[in-house]
Amino acid sequence: MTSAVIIVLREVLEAMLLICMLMASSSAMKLTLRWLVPALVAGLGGALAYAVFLESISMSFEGFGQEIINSSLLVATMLLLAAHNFFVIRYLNSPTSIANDSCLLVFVLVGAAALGITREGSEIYLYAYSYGLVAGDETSVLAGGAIGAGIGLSLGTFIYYGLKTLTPRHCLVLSCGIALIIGAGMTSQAALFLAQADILPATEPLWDSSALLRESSLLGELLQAAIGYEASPTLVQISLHLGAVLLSIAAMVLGYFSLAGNRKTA
Amino acid sequence: MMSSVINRVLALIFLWGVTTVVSAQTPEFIIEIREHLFYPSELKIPAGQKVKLIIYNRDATPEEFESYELNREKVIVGNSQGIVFIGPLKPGEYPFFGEFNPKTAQGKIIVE
Amino acid sequence: MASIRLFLTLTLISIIVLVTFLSSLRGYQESMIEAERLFDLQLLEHVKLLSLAKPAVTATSANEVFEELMLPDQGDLNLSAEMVIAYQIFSENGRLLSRSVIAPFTAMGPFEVGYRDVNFNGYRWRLLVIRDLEEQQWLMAAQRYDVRYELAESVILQSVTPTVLSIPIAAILIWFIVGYGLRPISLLAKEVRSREASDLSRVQLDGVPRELTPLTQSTNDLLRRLQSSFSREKRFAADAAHELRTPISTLKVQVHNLLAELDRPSATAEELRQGVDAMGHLVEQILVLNRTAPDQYMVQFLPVDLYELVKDVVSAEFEQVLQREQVFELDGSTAVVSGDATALRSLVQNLLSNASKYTPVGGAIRMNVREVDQQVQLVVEDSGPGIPQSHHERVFDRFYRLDGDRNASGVSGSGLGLAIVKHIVEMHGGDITLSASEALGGLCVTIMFNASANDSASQHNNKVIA
Repeated sequence: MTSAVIIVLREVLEAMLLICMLMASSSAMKLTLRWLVPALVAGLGGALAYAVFLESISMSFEGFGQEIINSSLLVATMLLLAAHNFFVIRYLNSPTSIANDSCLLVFVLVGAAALGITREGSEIYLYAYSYGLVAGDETSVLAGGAIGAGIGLSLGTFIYYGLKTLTPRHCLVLSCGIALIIGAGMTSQAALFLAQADILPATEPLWDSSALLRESSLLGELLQAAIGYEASPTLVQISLHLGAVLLSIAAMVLGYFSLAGNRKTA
Repeated sequence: MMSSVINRVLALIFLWGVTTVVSAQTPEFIIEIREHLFYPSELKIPAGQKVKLIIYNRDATPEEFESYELNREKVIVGNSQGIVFIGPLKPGEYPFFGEFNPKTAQGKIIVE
Repeated sequence: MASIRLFLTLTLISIIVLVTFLSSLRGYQESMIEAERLFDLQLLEHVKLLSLAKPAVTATSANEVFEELMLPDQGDLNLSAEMVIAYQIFSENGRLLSRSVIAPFTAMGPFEVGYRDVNFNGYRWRLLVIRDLEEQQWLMAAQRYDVRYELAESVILQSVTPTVLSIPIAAILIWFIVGYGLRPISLLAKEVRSREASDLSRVQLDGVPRELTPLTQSTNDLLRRLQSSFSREKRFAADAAHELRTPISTLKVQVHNLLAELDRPSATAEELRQGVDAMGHLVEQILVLNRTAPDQYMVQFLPVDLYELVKDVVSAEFEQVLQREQVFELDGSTAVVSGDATALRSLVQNLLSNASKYTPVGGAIRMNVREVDQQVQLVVEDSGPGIPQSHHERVFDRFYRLDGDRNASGVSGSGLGLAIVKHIVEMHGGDITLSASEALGGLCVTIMFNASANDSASQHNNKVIA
């Protein structure tokens, strides 16, 4: 049961952190939460498709289809999160800009949430499905899955309402920070996948902090889900992580100045 | 998604370049999964070198090869195989497990 | 929008889920560790028994196998087959002395004392190796991991499952309890919402909770101030109009006399007469408007034949239509509504004069009275310029005139006609809609009254008026 709890909790928590952050920031920007519907539909559809076609996906790209699709999904989510930060900073700078941006912004929100659900949902589906074939273990998987999902959804609820108790301005700034951290964590995860497929050069890990905090511990799992904690990262991983942070910051700076320019011309 | 298309193209280019080199010098090791168990459950590999791990899943159910210490995770669907590159690694023990059956599917890689 | 009920329900359930799930997860893990320890102890007991039995001394062949025990109950035997323990006994030099049926011929694990996990026979086993110094032999006993795990888990899950299943029940209960707790708010909202526009009396609710008392108090305060300023405004308009009546009549007489005294017709004097007439009309309209305001009206409704009434009004007002050389047409049949004849007369008058005023000379006006589905429909159409859709809401406002004072038709008016019409329709519990006339191209006013035969409708009307 513990494994069911851990798998489901990890995936649900990753997805909830992303989605709740997006929900809080979009409602701080006075958007309706209607974008959730297409995001859920697309995400769940994507998860189902991914899990069902996993076999052919795995066989593609000389057996590295999984790694390539996973890292593409991760990098795409990171880019969308950077775009989210761009729009948030723009909004903070001039709240009226939202009227022109709302269409693109909704696309970014739907895209990021759907990609997140696709990745996490397929993992859960695959796990549940693999057990569906093995009779006799349903109770433990269902109970464990329910506990994992329950804890994950509850934490998500608190993340959402916690962000909502802040003033819109603080909520948006914090959301940007969360988006930046999640995005960077995703990028370093993508780097791992690419190293696993031997697409990125493999090097020895720079350090090993597993003595301080093991990845397999509960806190380690939580931190890995939240900020992409890695006990023994490689140089490539760290550089890509920093690259994602810089990209996100660049997007925010761009968002800040994109309107300053507009104001001058206006 | 534009970025994923670019990624795929990049990946293809990389793959072509890399695999031709890899096949010449990277040592290969085989692990099998039967009845949610790894065979062998202890695998010795050389240190400081990249290694190609071929994992055969003989079960009908999928299994996720996972290792926190190796930083690797890969789903291997039923009755198929998957390739995972690991290393270069420092000497030591690196446990791995099957995420879907962690109680029984356990093993470790010993780097010497 | 943010909902208190949703917020409370979600956060309360989340707290319950987190507390119970985390504690039962913790309990589960502790129990599993304890169960592991018990199974290990069981293995140890088994090995101790094995060493006491000393079976190996006589057994020399490695192929010799112990007979399984015979139990009286075959069901128990099946159950124990699941939990079966494989054992081997080796001599000091590693020769297999004895084994159970399911144990392999080779050693199950290395010759090292202690517990360890090994794989053989396609399963993962928990192995205990003991060295019996006295007998100079190695004892090995192993138990299948998956069996141990399943047994332990099935026992422990019995306590976890009810916790998980109880959450949806708790969620439903919380949803309804929070809804019940918030009911005074929705009752208050309903009480305020369901009032007539003119009803400015105090909000009164029984058992208002302490948290809502300031709200009801401040609402009542606001209503009281609103009411006093409302009645002041209403009285002022009516009083002023009433006071203006006498001087205007005097003015009319004087203008009449002035016209008679003039030798030749004067355009200025004629304009003066028209101005005074218009002023008189305006004052009359203001008085009608105040008399017919729904909250002012106090008379009992009587059955009125709307068709006859329309005919009557038309014959009285026909001069205006004739002057403007307009084609007038009246269709319909007897249609009885329950209402006040004076007010209805004023309604038809206003509609007809509006239609005639805004329809160009030589245009057409059509009126129609008929019964439709227990309702009486009055339609007035004209071939005038009509009213654009965007103004349909506002033309019923008092003193609102299309395009302000520079009215395209150049017609003078009080801007009160449609406001009066609306008042009278509302007071009869009817319905008024404006649209473009399909037949004539101008404005089409459609008014629906409840037919007088409908008792419940007239009762409703009485209630509204009272």
